[in-house]
Amino acid sequence: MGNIDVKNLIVEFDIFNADNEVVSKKRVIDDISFSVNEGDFVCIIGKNGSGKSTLAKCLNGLIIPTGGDVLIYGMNTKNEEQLIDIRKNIGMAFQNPDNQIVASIVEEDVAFGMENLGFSPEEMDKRIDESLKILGIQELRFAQTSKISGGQKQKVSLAGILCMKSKILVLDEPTSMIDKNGRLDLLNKVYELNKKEKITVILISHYIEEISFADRVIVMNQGKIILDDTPKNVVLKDELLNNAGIELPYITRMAKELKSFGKKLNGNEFSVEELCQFLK
Amino acid sequence: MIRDITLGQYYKKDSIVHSLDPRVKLVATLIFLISLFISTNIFAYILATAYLITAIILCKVPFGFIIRGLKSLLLLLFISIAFNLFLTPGKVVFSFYAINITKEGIILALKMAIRLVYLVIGSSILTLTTTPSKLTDGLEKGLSFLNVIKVPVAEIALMMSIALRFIPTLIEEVDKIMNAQMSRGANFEKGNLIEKAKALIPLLVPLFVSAFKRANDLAYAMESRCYVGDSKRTKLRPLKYKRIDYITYIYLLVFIILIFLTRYIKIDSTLSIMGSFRGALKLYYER
Repeated sequence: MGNIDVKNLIVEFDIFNADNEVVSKKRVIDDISFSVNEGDFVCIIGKNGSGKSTLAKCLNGLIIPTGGDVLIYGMNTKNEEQLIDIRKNIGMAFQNPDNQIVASIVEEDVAFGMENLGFSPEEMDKRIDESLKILGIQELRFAQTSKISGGQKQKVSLAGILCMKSKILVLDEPTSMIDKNGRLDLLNKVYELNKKEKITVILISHYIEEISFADRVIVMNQGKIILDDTPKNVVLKDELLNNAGIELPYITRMAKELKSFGKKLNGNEFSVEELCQFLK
Repeated sequence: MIRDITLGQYYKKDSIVHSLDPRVKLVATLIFLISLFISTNIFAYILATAYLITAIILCKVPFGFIIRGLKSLLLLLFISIAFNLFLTPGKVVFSFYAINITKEGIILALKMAIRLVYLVIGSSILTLTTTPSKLTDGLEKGLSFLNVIKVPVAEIALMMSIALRFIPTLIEEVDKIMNAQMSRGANFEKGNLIEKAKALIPLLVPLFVSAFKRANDLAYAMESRCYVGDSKRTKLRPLKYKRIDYITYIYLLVFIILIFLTRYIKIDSTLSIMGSFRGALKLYYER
């Protein structure tokens, strides 16, 4: 049993007509199972509508499964009494940095989760300090949340999760609304958290480039898991990826092209450095 | 730029009034407003004026800034003065065609004008010296006794602070939608009042849609951070009374007692006391 156990998960949404009557059901997640171990960095990719965001919300108990179970440290998200304990262990950052900030001042927002859990002001002060330091945004402590950039807002929400000492971090497309520099910066910080603080990370993304940070990649299409492997192995399955509407990273595509010209390459290289190594 | 709009009208300054607990300031404003409406004679108005002047001096906010709020009040002020001046029956002091201005009218108009002006200045001092988030904190703690009759004070306060937090975000959104609609030929400035109001529909509909979407996202984000919506929450910066706050409370108590006492001073008897004093002086000099 791992940190997270997903067993035969099914999620269906009701489809309503104009009179607000249920006309049909749409299966968003279709019988998937997997588990994640402590300290893993898992990247879940898939195109829009593949069910990845719904999966993320299931992990946190925000959506209760229609069928199957989600167990976080053995606690079932269907059990309402355990929801607070589950959410303490599994922090979540969302896509739109603007819509997840509650307070007008950074430190107040970071403290929000701890306030909900009834921490003392002294303890909160200490933890805010620590978490802002880890993310390198101490200078923003008293800044107004409306005046900071998208990347900084995402870091503020990460700080809020770190404060609660969550052991699992679920990031639901955290980089989709921030620029490229902010994106790399944020992901590097997440990578550090995973390696140094041993936090289990589940990164949901539709940028295939981001799988290079992960130890394991789960590819979803139409509510099903179609691939579950290491990043290096996943990019070798280009046909499956193409069917799922996912384009390979630019460098990998180049490596494959070069390979077809008879160069000695594996065809799963991610970085320019890797590519150059082989070309020498 | 539209996004440079600052929230509320907080004026940052290091003063005694700024450092007071927001609850004290709320109570002080409330007492001041009550005192204005129970004042019946000149002594009470003198006391209230002294109270206001003390607050203005202590808060260190430039006077010009404080009376800015009066601008929007001018029309209301004008109407209330006119109504009281022309429509109060009593002893006529001035007559112009069918318009009679009475002594009672002048006194009433003056009273109303003073009340309105003081009311605005008094509440401006509160908002100028207290940040919106402190104000909601103060309201939350100050009204927590309403929990007894099951009023969800903490939830209402959180709603207020979230509303405040979203004002800049929504202003930005309005900006974006306006630009998008204007690029497609919408005109928000031309036409009469009704046309202008109609032009707002293509602005308001997308704004509402996106606000609801944001609300949904925010609800998820709050839930995922263990928010369950009862009042067991703690505060990062809980409000604590300091010595200066207690001292202010004592001053406020003295002030309201004095205001009540002025109700028992009869103008006539005061005048007669003054009259007899003058009489005594006259006698003294005649001798």
